[in-house]
Amino acid sequence: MSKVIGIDLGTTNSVVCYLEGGEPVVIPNAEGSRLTPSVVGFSKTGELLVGAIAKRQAISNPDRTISSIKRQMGTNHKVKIDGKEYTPQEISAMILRKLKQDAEAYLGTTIEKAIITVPAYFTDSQRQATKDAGTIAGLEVLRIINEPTAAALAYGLDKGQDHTILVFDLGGGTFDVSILELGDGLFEVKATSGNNKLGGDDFDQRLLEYLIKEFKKSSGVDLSKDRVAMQRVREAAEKAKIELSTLQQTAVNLPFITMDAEGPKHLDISITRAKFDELTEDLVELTMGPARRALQDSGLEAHQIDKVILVGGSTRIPAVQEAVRRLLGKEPHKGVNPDEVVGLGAAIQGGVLSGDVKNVVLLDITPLSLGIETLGGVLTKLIERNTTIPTSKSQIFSTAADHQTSVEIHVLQGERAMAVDNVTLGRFTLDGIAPAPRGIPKVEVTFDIDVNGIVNVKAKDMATNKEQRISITSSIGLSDNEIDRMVKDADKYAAEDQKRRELVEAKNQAEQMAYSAEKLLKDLGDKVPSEQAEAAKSAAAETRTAIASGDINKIKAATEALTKIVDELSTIMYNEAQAKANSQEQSGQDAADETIDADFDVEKK
Amino acid sequence: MEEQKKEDEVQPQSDATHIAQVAELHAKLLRLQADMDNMRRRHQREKEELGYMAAADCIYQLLPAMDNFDRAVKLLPAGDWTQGMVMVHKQLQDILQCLGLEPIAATGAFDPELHEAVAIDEDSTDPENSVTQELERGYKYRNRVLRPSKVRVSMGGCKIE
Repeated sequence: MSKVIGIDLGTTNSVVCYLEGGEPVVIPNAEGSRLTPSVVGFSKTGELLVGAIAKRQAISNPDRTISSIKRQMGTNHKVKIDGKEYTPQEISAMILRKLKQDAEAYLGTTIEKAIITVPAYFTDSQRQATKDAGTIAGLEVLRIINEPTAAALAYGLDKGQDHTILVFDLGGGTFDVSILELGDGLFEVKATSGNNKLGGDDFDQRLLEYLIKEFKKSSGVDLSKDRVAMQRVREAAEKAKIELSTLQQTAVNLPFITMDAEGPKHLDISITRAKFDELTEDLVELTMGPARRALQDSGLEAHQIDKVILVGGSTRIPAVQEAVRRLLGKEPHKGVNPDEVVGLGAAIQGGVLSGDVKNVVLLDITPLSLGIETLGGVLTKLIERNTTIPTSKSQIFSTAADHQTSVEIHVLQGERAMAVDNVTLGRFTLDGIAPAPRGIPKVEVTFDIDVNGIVNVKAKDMATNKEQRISITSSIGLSDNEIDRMVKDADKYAAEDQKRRELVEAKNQAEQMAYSAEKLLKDLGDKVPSEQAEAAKSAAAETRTAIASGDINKIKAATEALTKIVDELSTIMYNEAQAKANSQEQSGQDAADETIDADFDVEKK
Repeated sequence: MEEQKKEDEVQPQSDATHIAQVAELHAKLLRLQADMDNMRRRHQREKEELGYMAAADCIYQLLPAMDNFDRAVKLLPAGDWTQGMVMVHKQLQDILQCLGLEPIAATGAFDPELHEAVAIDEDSTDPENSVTQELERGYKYRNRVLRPSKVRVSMGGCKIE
């Protein structure tokens, strides 16, 4: 069964999406963009151009470029190019075919089925024309769905209780308001309204006019006659508009915008969000009329609207959001990209119809991290929180003391750095480890969580293959509140935990260094000059005193001093080893290199 | 200590149901594996793409400053100060070129793959559909169009309404 794509066939831009593992995803076009301009052109040589390329030649080739064909859907309008007539369906089909082909190239598979969205106010003949366009493009149109319905699907509003939803869609050049009622999992359009000549471009125009006026005021030069300059100002205006959605103020900087007898002139104008709001106040107000009308037509009061969804790039404008909030008295839904929300919803509908959504097995995740306690009482995580289960992970650990013959595996769950702050899931002991210097034995610890959330922990001595295991069934038995508290605590104590962890790490490192120094001294014996040996001994002793003091600065300083001495001792040893060409020590060194520095908590027997 | 699962406790089912179930699960598994395989391949492609995009985006953001530098250099009066600035300008161009940025030629026939028409030139006597003026330089980055040239296009002497 082939994939079903969801297509938002827009007036200015189109988006194509599909369902990947139950999640809707936008498919970028061949040029790498997520939006494809709904523009079709025929080059002077008769070549068909669709998307950004068609848009680029629109000005120089206006007779053979068609944009906003959506406005003509379902009419008898014909586009005549080079003596050939095209219906709006055929032009739309050219856009759909590009979307289909780009999706096929991206997904590496053929695509035959699609869901296409249309405005809620589309008549039957407009819907039929859209469906025909799909057929011409080689797509089996499984269903034509309403744009506001698709947006509601993208927000998952088809689940849960019955409610009413207002969809506020302010695009590049059109504005639609729809009121939907959800009943028995089906959406019913209660009312629609809008203004098909209002959109983001109008907001750009206001800024453009303002910039030209301000520049004329300060420099006396009228840029509106200068095409090149106008092009730059237009682009800068759009950029400023976008910036003012997140910033309170932005500066439009266009150096060398023009030249007069005195020399070059620069455009440098600051615009505050307040100024932008003032310039576009009436445009925002223009959206309110249709919104009120839709409410009235649906017979509902503003407070009876349960959810509000924003669609279209221009709903990113803070003043627009504020107006919606004021009108309806509630916070609009956010989180899904308003340019893509309709296409994403269409992909979800496609998944539902093809059975993909049903087939999606809802995989669980581990709500908290799992790990074991290691040297110094630290929690070493093996499985991070939010990992999808079933999953398993192994890691090699070693001993913390010489001739240690058993290790205790303390299985923990939680987000805090220190073992004691987390929840104990279980403990077990692996014994029978052959006596060896610390760091030499290798113990492989494996965590395995099955579909039901049962955690199996296994520890295996790599030398003897002896193993011990535990099975924990209650790990996910924590309530949501407990889990929430544990995650929040981890954030709250993050800085504190970090300090404690650093201290433990410093202690472990110091301990390791002191151990190395003593071992080197023992191994080298009288090959070390007595003066140097004394210095090493006292440095090691000092390090141990520092460890006992628990002062991280002291520990670090002592470790540093001791490290220098150990380096000297190592040099002696290497020279010695080289002289003898003796490789006896080699195996021990290798093993120590490979093991992970997190050592087990010592359990002395 | 050892936990053993007792699988034989599962209720016996009719063979036909079993066979159908196995077939269904098998089909599901195959699809999942295929999805996984495709995802892995796409992931690899996306990773390469991401590397390109990260660098391309960074350079793209620099272009407006480069444009203004171009304009400044063109307009500066002659002199030693200018000479120095021209050298810095050249240096910046060379660096960007080394990084893989390459200016798009804005001459000859208009090509929407490379050029964006922002105005038409009704007075030009150049052949129809040829570029008459570069308004903003376009660039390719590692052989892909990063930003098309903004150009004026000749109408071949005929006026359009």
